[in-house]
Amino acid sequence: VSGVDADQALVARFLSRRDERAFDVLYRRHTPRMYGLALRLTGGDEPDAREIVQESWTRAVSRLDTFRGESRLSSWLCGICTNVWREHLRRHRPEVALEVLSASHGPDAAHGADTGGRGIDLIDVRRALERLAPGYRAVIVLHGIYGYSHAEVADMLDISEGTSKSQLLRGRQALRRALHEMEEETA
Amino acid sequence: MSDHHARPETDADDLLARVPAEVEPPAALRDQVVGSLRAQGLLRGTPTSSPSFAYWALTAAAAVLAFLGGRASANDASPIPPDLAVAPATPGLAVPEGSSAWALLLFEDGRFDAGDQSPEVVARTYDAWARVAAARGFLILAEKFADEETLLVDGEATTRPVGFVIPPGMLGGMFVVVAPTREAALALARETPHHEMGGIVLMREFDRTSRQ
Repeated sequence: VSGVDADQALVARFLSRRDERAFDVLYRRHTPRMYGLALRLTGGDEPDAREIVQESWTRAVSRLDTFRGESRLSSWLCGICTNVWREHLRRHRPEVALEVLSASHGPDAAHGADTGGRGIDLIDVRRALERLAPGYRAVIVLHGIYGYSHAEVADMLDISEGTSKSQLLRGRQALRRALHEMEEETA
Repeated sequence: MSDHHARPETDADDLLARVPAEVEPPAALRDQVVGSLRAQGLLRGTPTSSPSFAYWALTAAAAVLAFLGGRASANDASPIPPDLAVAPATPGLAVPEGSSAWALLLFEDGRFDAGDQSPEVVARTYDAWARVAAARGFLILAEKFADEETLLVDGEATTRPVGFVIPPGMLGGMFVVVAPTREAALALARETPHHEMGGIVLMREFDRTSRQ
């Protein structure tokens, strides 16, 4: 049985009971992905990530009867998670726009990063992501780590598909620049 | 970790794809989420490890023991030697002469509907049926499965929440019953509360030919 069928059965089971036991199955199955996404989107801010996951589950459970299974439940939940993060960002950092118009919110995107230094690893990449402007980070996280298409990313962030593509390009440049800066700092 | 090191310009994208998408959340988050859902009336206030389920399993097990104990005392003509009782060569079910044993595997999919009954009430319904079936000498075992399964394929074990290995739906528990015929076993399967609640019951006969 596919994961989609399994999710639909789990949702049906939860809706028929609405008890903690049925919810726990859904929670254990999907929260690691939601928490991972929230952690990446917030730039590694654990308290914010927990708050986002909690609010996401509240919204998801209150609307679970509208889930029709056209998409995977994990995608549906991650979409909610991304929305909650956007609202969280607007509330706490209203000056930040998801469409990054300049490099002012992060490392200079114009620079390359061929540093010839020690090389990079996964920890470096995670730290570099945390330095990026939220708009760049969101596109890179959703497309590069979670594998969403530009159309899906555009829908999740309420931006155009073209903006998603251009921000990915500039975000990658900014990421390389951040890696370069980190390398210089540790040299 | 040396295989993760790479030149920035060439391999940052590759490394991005290897950043884990899933991160184990802090244990306290689960209670935080459940507490919030309860407070907003989105979740019924039942504990995770509902004592009623443990009670159901315990009482069912007690009924089975009573049943097997009664059967053993009625079969004093062939007492089991103490050494064999400690380490029986072939543990198996105590199936009455002329009967067969059947597993009734209880599945739950979207059709399963216990209505507005709380898990405690549902558990008591199953328990009541199990007690009666055991008293009538039909029930050997009544257990509920935990919501986690381990699948062993080609030597590789994968443990994950709930099971969908056997469609449709999720395997929630099982009864083992004894009956003289398939029709009688089927009649028992139709009597189970699981059937009454719309759940799917998969009936399989134990093959005991090698035990003769």
